[in-house]
Amino acid sequence: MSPRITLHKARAAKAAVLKAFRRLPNLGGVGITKVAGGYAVKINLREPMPKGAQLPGEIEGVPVTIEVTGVIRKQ
Amino acid sequence: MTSVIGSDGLQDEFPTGMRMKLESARELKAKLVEGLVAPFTQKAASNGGLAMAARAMTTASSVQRSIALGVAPPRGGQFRLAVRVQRQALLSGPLMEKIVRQARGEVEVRMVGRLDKRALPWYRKPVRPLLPGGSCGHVEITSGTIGAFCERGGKVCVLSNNHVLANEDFGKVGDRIVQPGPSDGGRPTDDRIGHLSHWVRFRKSKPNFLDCALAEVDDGIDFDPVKLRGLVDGKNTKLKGLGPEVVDAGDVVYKLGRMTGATKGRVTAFDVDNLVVNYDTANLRFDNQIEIESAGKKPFSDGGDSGSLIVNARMEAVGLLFCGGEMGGAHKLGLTYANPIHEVLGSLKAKLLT
Repeated sequence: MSPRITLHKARAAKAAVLKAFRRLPNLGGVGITKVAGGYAVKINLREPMPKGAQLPGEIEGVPVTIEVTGVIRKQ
Repeated sequence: MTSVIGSDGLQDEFPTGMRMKLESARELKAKLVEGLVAPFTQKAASNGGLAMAARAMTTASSVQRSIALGVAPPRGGQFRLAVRVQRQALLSGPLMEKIVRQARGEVEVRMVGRLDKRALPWYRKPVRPLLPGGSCGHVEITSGTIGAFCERGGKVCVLSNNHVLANEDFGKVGDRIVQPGPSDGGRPTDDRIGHLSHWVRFRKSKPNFLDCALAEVDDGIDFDPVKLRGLVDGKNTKLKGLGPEVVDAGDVVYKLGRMTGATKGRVTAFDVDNLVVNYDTANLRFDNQIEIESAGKKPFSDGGDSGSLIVNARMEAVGLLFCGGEMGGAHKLGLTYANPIHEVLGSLKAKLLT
């Protein structure tokens, strides 16, 4: 079983995700979440990825979760 | 068409054996309402003929529940008279007999009972003393929520969002703030509680961190900074102060807002960067936000909840709600976002009152 990802490591992976995908037109946000007790990177999408395009499930050894959140509006 | 005047003075324009067309059904309904139901409804009220619990006359209606008429959807190509009965005693009796006779039995009768205007929850009504969770807003917006009460420069202030108190930077210092908010009936003079005093302006070409503002509360307006009315399982709780500077994914949180009231949620992410939020003026980018999903059966927040204070399970302030979406999160009930409260208070140079 792989060791739990620390917050420090997850933050480094988040920075790498932002650098790599900042220009993704449907990117809705990138944050830190938890998966199975360890930290992970969460990528939010305003729209699903186009057919054939895929985001990595892991970056720098840190799990990546992806969620389609749609449009976010002031409330 | 042959018209028959019945014993009750109404014309019978729907002879037996003829299928009731929509137009006939509408005409019959109109005649029965005018000739039978409306007079009965008013008469019953004027002679006190129907049971009514004792209450002040000023709150008593001059119109009593009786029978409502409409047109029921067609069955087998034939329309029927829809009869909606609001009192059990009227299901049988002379009024119902006359209606059924006039419609030649082509009726669909349903007991609907008392129909009340849906009562407004406390957080959309005028509330004095002012409470966290109550409706409020700049006089030119719809309505948002009072998050908390703060002190700045010796003055008591309401804490909420820029887009609630400062109208997305269109407001000016001194602009009136009302409780409840304008869309909840707040009037510029009678419901004034204070004025816009401080806020963090939005940036269109750089990342934003905050959507927050303060309104100084007028002298003489009472407020309770700690009462969190009905927040946990419908019971009142008290705001205990500031929570830790960092929240963690999985933390349980609560909020009280003008739209969805008391809701429970769970932090799904923090340190959220590159969050794009639709405002009236532009799409703005935010960094360092807290993401929350519902931990209940309804969304954690909705339009009008902006400005709500987010508290953790210890009733400590952790965030200021400002935006959300309808997709994602537990049971696909949507996600909500909040500014970290320590950043909010630091930028506004304000101290949370507890």
